[in-house]
Formats: sequence, structure tokens, C-alpha cells
Amino acid sequence: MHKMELLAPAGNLEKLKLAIDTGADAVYLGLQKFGLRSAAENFSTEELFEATSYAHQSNAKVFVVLNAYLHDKELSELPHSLNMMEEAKVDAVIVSDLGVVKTVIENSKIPVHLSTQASCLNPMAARLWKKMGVERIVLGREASLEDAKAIKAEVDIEIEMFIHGSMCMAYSGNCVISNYTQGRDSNRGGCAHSCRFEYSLDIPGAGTEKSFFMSSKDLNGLSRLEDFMEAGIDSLKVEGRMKNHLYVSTISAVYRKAIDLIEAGKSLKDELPSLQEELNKVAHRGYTEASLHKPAGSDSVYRDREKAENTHQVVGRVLETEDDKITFLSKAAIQTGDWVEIIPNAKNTSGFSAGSIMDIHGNSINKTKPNRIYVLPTNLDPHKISKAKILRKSL
Amino acid sequence: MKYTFYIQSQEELQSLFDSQLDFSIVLAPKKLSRYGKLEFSQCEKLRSLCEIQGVDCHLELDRILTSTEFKGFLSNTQELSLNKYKSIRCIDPGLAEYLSVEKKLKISFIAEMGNHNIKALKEWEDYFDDSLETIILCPELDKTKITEFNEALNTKTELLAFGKILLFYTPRHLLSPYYTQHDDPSQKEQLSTGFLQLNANSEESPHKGFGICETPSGTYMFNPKDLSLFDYLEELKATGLDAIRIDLRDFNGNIQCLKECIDFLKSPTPENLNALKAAWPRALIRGFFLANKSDVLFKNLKNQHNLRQDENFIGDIIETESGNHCVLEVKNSRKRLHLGDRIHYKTPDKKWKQMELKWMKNLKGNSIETAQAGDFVVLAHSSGVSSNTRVYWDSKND
Repeated sequence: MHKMELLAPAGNLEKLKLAIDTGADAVYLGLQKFGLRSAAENFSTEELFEATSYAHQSNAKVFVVLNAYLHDKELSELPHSLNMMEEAKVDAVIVSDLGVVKTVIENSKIPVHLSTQASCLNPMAARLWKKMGVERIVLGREASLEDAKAIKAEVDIEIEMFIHGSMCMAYSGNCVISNYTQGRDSNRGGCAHSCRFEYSLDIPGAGTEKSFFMSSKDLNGLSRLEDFMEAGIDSLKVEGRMKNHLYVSTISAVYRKAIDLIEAGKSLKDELPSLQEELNKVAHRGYTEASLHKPAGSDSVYRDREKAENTHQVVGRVLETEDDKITFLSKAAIQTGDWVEIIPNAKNTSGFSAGSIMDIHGNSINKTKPNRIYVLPTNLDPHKISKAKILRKSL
Repeated sequence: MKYTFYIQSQEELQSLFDSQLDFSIVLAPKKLSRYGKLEFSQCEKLRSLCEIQGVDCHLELDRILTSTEFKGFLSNTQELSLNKYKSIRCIDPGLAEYLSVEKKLKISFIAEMGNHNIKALKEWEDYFDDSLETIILCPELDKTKITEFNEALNTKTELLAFGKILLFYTPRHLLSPYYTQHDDPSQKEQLSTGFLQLNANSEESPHKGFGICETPSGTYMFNPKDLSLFDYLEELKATGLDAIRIDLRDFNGNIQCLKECIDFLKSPTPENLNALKAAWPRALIRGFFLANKSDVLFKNLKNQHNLRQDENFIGDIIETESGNHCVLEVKNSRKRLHLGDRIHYKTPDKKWKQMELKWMKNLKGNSIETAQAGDFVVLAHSSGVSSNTRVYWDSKND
């Protein structure tokens, strides 16, 4: 049976651990330089060492994104960082620029994955990048599963495809709106998300219409998972290094469960509704299958101002657990009587009513405040409690 | 330095023939380029006219192609005499590979996205080798880089010097859903050509008048102001560029701009430049030609003061209760925290605070003397310390 890797985003060390604990086979992360998420927390050198150590103990892999279009000065700083990455036993780097590809190959033995930013969409391009030394290709999100299958059939190379998360409306790496309108290089981490803005369109013969006409819905390929398997895709990628803990843990857990079912030879059909329901619990901009099955049509556009389309929110991060209580750092308010669920174990059976809430001094309180530590007594199974990482509640 | 012009009609071509400029031509077919408007027959006709006059004529096939599109695309190219063009200009490395390696045709590689380092450009040059006619450089390069690149490359280079600036390219058709008034003459006309064009504005952007265009190959957004490097013609020559490109395609049928442009290039006087600018319907900018500082604002995207420094790092404050306590999450996995250690806080609002650890407790309220990574430690509160404060050992500890 073909094994598919589940590759999750890791915006920071906590999220990396959460992704792995909830089922990711591999995670990708950015350092303070060379990536496309300048605003993200990203990883320091020591955090990278801790990340690879934690991941490898769990048989998971760590990929580092070096997917900015580097200028000469930045490229000259890369070899030093590659030494550090090799020392940290990074499993691969994700690269979009040919100069970076060659610099990595000449200065390290770290495998190179071609980023989606390179918009590789056809077998001839895949063949060329393989000759350049690339071992895996992250296909552009314009490629369908049939396209991927054709590449896989013609070129002996690992193929990774996005299965979930936000999408650029443009061909990735082919947008410079921020460069000219904000003075920030979108391909070096300065994207201002101008495609999410509302625009007034001067439509010939019909006046002006306001619209979010360039904003893409989020990709959700869960129902196509069996097709990914059939196409021989090696790795399923989830977007979202800027996303929160709830997103990382929920998406990882859902896709882990779905992949396990398929790999066990079972049909996804019966579980699909409940798994989709889980995906709806995290913030998203409507869901689309984009180009997985056919070229993305007008129904793939999110014609609304960005808002949190989710049914649940994070209550807090679990700090410590005992047999009958959970100590957590609050992120959103709950009050006594609220129904709280623990993650992993994202089922109602893993929920409980917040009968009483205490601060760390043991004082009872009725309602929590953000960035404060609280203790929640619970009668849940201690085994489940011990695994808790995140608390959530419905909105 | 040669001039590269896009041409959409015989009349435009004749104007150039008459100009005696040293120029070459790019033809962009409707079915195979991003927003070209030429039918195959027009391409072939214009190419043959160039051939008669001894003018280099290039064909632009600048789309990015999926596996599915690739096959249809290749079958369409059979209507063109590809080997009679000076080169085929392409951006998709797969298409470049196919044309150069399998079809043994000359290509001009459009390196306009990324390719901001000489290593990448040299690698493309080495890879395509004799098949490579020209490398088309990125318009976001500044003159210093262009000069350095030209000194290092052995291949001819070209840069956009006048014309629209493409900001965004998607294969999705974003305008046609808004063209619902099929009886309206202006909509009808655009729909019949397959080219939808309108302007867009956003209150979320200080820039007004983005040109948006939908063609059969997708949707394109252009900068409200167009690029003109004609104020820097001598400096362009000094960079060592082999050609500059002039793209006047927005004004199909209006030959006035082309004539003004030819006059300027023949005699680059301020008067002729002003005449061109006056004929041009939109404002012009110089883009990044003088300097590209598009990374200097990155430091504003997050609090640089609050970035984790690994040396002497202990952990982060996750809770504070003013005048009472704060809670430290210990994150250093190589060294333990001890009672009596001197520490300093680095707050998100750039304050530094120092203190000695006179007591420590765990979350259960029990006194502790040491803590390690993963522990949560209750400490005495220090004024000004808030959540997300970084905590470091004072270097004097050692």
C-alpha cells in the first residue's frame, strides 16, 4: 500500500509539537531569514535543534523553508545557515529559486524540495528541476490530480501537493502587488495580501460594483483523499504557518484519521461528514476544491470580507494536567457551565462542563480573562486528560 | 542597445521599418500568450514581413502550463513556423526545456519572476547553453544589479523599459462573472473579443486605477502607473543591456504613442520625451531602477526587540498579576534555572528589567529551588513586566 506523508505547518515550537502529537508525519518551518513569512514568529537556531530533536524522537521529519527569491546578499549568507541546518539534522529544505537550489546542493547534503512558488505544473518542468538536483516537487496549486498523476507517471520524482489551507489567487511566486503598492517584496516575505482587499470594479455598461473578486476560498481536499492516493502523491501538505494552535491540531488530527482509514483499506465515505464537521470548526474562508478536479471556477472566489468562519475557538493552551484537573493558559473567555473540549481527542466525548474555574491561588472565579492561568477540575478519563494540549469551545 | 517592440498590426510594423531604429519584434499570439491579441495567421504574416526586411522576430509563448494544458498548447503551435522565429520567449521552464532540448529551437528565457541573484541566472545560462538567445531580466532589478549581471553573463539580456507593469497573474477568470449585461454594447464588444478590461480601485490601497484584464488564459492586474525608464536611457546603455523592451500594447489602434516613442528613441531630447509622456494616457514611474529597497520595511512586520535571542535565553512570561506575581515558562532545554540566579526581562515595549530570583514556586504554590524546560515558575512581579516578556540570564551570572 502506497504511504502518503502528512506534512503540517509549524509557526513555532509549540505548534510543531502539537502538529506532530496530533498526527503529522512531517512539519515545515521557517527560520528568521530566507522564508516567505517575515511576520511569523519563526524559529531561532536553538529552537530548530529542539524541533528536529523532538520530531525525530517521534519519527517525524522537519523541512525548512528557504523559499524566498533571494537576492545576492542574502544568498551569500546562506552557506553558514546550511551548516547549522545540517548540524540540526534538518530532513530537507524547500526552495523556489534556482540559485538557492544550487547553493544548497554545493554546500550541504540536505535534500532539496522545490517550493510551490516555482509553479511547477507539468512533466517537462519536473524533469528539468530533477536535473537541477531537486528530489521532491511541491506542485503549484493550479495542478489537478490528473496533472499530478501525469507528472508522476513520466518523471521519477517525489510529488507533494497541497490538500488544505489558504491559497494565493495568483500563480504562486508570480505576484508583485506588494512590491509596487507597499514597497515590500512579496516574494521575500512582505506580502500585504492585497488580493483579499475589496475593490470597486468599473464594469462597462453596468456601473461600479464592489467586490472581493481576487480573494480565493480555502482549499479543502479531504473528499478527494482517495484520489490523492490513487495518483501516487507522496506528501499531502497543509498550508498555515501563521495559523493558530486550534487550526494546526484540528487539521492534523482530521487528515491523520482520514489517511489512516484509507491506508487500512477502508472507505472514507462514512466518516466524511464528521471529519468535514471538524474542519468547519477552524477559521476558514469558505472551502473549495480549487483545481484538484477541474480548473478553479468562479465558485472558488471568496466574495466576502475576511472573517472567522468557524464554529469553535481556542479557550486556552494546556500547561499541566493531573488525573482530575487541567491547568491552562487562557486565550478566550469561558465561564462556569460552558462546555469545553480537549484536543487531541476532538469528539464530544472528550468534552466536559466547566463546573468550577480557579486561578492559580485556588480562588474560584466565574469568567476567565485572556493570558491568565486557570485550573479546571474535570471528571474525564485521566488518560484523555494526560494527552490534552488545547481546550476549545463552540461559539 | 537594441529596442524590442511588441507589434499588433502591419501599420505599427511599417512605422518601425520606416524609423531606421535598430529594433527587433515580439509577436504574442492570442491562443498561446498571456494577453497577446494576434491570430496565428497575423503572426505568420508579420513574421514574414520582418524576414523580408531582415528584422529579428521573436514569438512569445509566456504562459505557465499544467500537464493538461501542455498537450493542447503544443498542438496549437503546429499552426506556427516555430523554427522561423529568432527565438521563442517562454517563462515556463517545462516549455523552455521542451523547445530547446526536444525541438532544438532557440529560446529567450523570461527570468522576470525571482532570479535576483547571479547564481540563478548563470545556472539558467549554463543549462540552456547554445539554445539560449536572450535572458529577459526582472523589472524589479536596480541598475547596479543589472550592471553586475550583465558583466557576469555571456548571454544577451533584455529589460522592460516602457510599458505596463504586470502585478498579478492567475489562470482563474475573475471578471467574466461580472459581465452579465450581455445586451450592453460595450460589454458585448469585449465579450466578443475574449478580452475583458476594466479599472479597479480599493479603499484599502492608496493607489487608484488598477487595470484588470481577463483573457482566455486568465486574469491579470496591472500597476496604475506604467513604467518608463526613458529618463535614464544613457544609464540603461551603461548597464550593458543588449536590448530594452517597449510594450505599447494597451493602445491597439492608437499609433500616436508608437510614433512619439520612435521620435524619442531616434532623438532622445527632453522635448521628445515630454511629447511621448503627453501622448501616454497614464502616469509613469521609474519602478526600482534607481534602487530596490523592498526589504527594508520587513523589520516593521514584527517586534524586532522581542525576537528570541538564544544566548542566555531562559523562557517567556505567560501571566502577570501586577504587584503580585508573574509566571515564567522555562524553555531552555540545556540549562536549569536556580534560585539566586540573576535574570533580566526584555519587555515587548523595549524595557529592560533586572532582578535576582529570591523565591520561586510551581503552579501548585510549592516553593522550588530549580526549574527546567517545560516547567512553569511563579516569580515575584516586577513593574513593567507583561505577558510575552522574554527572560534571559544576566551574563554576570557566570
